[in-house]
Amino acid sequence: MTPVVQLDAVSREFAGTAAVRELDLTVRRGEFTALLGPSGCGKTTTLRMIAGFLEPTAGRVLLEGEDATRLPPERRNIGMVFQSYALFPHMTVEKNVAFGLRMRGIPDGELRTRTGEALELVGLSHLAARKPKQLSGGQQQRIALARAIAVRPSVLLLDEPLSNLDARLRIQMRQELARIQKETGLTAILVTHDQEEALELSDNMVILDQGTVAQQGAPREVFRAPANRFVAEFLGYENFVELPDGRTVTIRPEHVEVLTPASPTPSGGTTVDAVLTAVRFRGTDCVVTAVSEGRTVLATSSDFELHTGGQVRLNLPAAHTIDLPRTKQELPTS
Amino acid sequence: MAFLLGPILLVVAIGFSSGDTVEFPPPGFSLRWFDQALSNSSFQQGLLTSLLVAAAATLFALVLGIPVALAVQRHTFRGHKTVETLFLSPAIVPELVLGFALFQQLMVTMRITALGALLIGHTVLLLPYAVRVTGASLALSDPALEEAARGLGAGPLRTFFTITLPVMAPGIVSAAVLSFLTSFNNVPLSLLLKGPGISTLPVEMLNYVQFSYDPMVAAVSTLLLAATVGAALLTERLVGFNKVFSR
Repeated sequence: MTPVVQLDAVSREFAGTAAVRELDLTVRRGEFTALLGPSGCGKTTTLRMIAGFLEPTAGRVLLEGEDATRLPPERRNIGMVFQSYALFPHMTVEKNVAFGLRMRGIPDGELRTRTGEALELVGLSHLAARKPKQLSGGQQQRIALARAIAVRPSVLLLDEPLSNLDARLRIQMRQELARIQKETGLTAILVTHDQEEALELSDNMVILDQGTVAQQGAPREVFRAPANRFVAEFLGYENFVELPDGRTVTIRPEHVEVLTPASPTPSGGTTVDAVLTAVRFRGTDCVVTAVSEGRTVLATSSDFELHTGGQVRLNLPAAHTIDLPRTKQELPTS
Repeated sequence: MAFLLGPILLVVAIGFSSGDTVEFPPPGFSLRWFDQALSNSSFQQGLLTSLLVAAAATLFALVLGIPVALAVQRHTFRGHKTVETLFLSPAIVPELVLGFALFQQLMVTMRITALGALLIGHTVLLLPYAVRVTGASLALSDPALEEAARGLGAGPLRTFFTITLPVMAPGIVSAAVLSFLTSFNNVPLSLLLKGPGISTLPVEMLNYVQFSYDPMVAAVSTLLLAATVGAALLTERLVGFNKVFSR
């Protein structure tokens, strides 16, 4: 099956600095892809090259199997939702949503039907006659979505669409977005710096670091097994430990076992003796900072007898210890 | 405020005078000076010229200025600051100097008619207003609007006419009003760029005052004031005054 979007060794330079370096990306039909990473990683640049607002300095952009690298945005069948929503202020909601259809020369009857359907899908048919400035932020966002969906694009491109909403609304809209994508079966690419958003919404999570892919795959896989330190840190892993055998590993604090110094050494893990330098009470458990021969390890424990200065034995079970290579590598996509 | 209004109200009062000379308080009330003003042929011709030049120069300045504003606001290209400064520079040059330079080049050297020179001169004079005011309204609008239109299938030209221009409309109206008034009221440029049968109303008024000092000039001034206030009120009804002058 032809992928909907394919990026073939795409690069983009700005004044001598590479924002995107030889990026390969495949987006399959019906798939929800998240481009995730810190500021400056190249995710928005990549999205804009897919949309046609930027031309790559090298490589090819293929849409539905056709080379679209030099094609202007209006000739690509895309639907884009901007962070600022970019609703046309001088048009009603209905005219906004119908705009793409009007540009394609869709006849009046069909235009009205499809506009109505799009508004229905986002649950805002009753606002058709309003002007954008009369809408709340969440409503504007949904209209922007309806406008992009109405044209039945090959791919829906979302540039941090939820960033301007408050926390509670963001979570609500995330669920709306998921529902709409499932219902329409549209292929979607979302740019975000919010890992929760990417974890919840995407089928394929692509983490970018300085213009290249640090890791990509199903959210569960990537989260469970970060391929390198950058990804682990980005996903909130806190422990980066160099073990006695020389490996650099990461392990989540909740997986570290905190034992008394006299405990028998469990098998199938790495055990070190450490002293506690901090104990932070959290209500249901506590977070302890343990230092062993220069290594700092964070762990959680429900043993409330633990105190600063106490000696402990730490066990890092093999099942939860993740090896981190010194160089970046990609996990094969499923 | 009274400082500004006082002299103006004085002039208005004198316009309604029944006397033969400019005196305050006027001896009586009469509309004869208005009658004289409206039937004075030099004033009539001056008015027509002023209206024509103001309208045409405003149009030319906008047609030239809007693309410049677009280029400067929406694209950062090498030397865009220089281009912007170039188009804003007529506002800095003393008008008398501008007028004389244009007189020398256009009318003497190139032998262009007074009307032509007037049109060119006024257009140049108005360019800074066209570029600055429309530029300001563009700067306040979201550049993503145009990208959104392109993403939805509108080519660059269609995007300009369906999105950019309507969004800029209040800015364009305010630039037009400002430009029209600036051109109409202009004296230095119009003083130098005149010829047989071609001179603007302010210049004609200036001429008249040098030879006759009677309430007719006051009457003309009152009429001009009324027209300006009328234009302002019209702008308020059509577009909203604070929208126009806050952009």
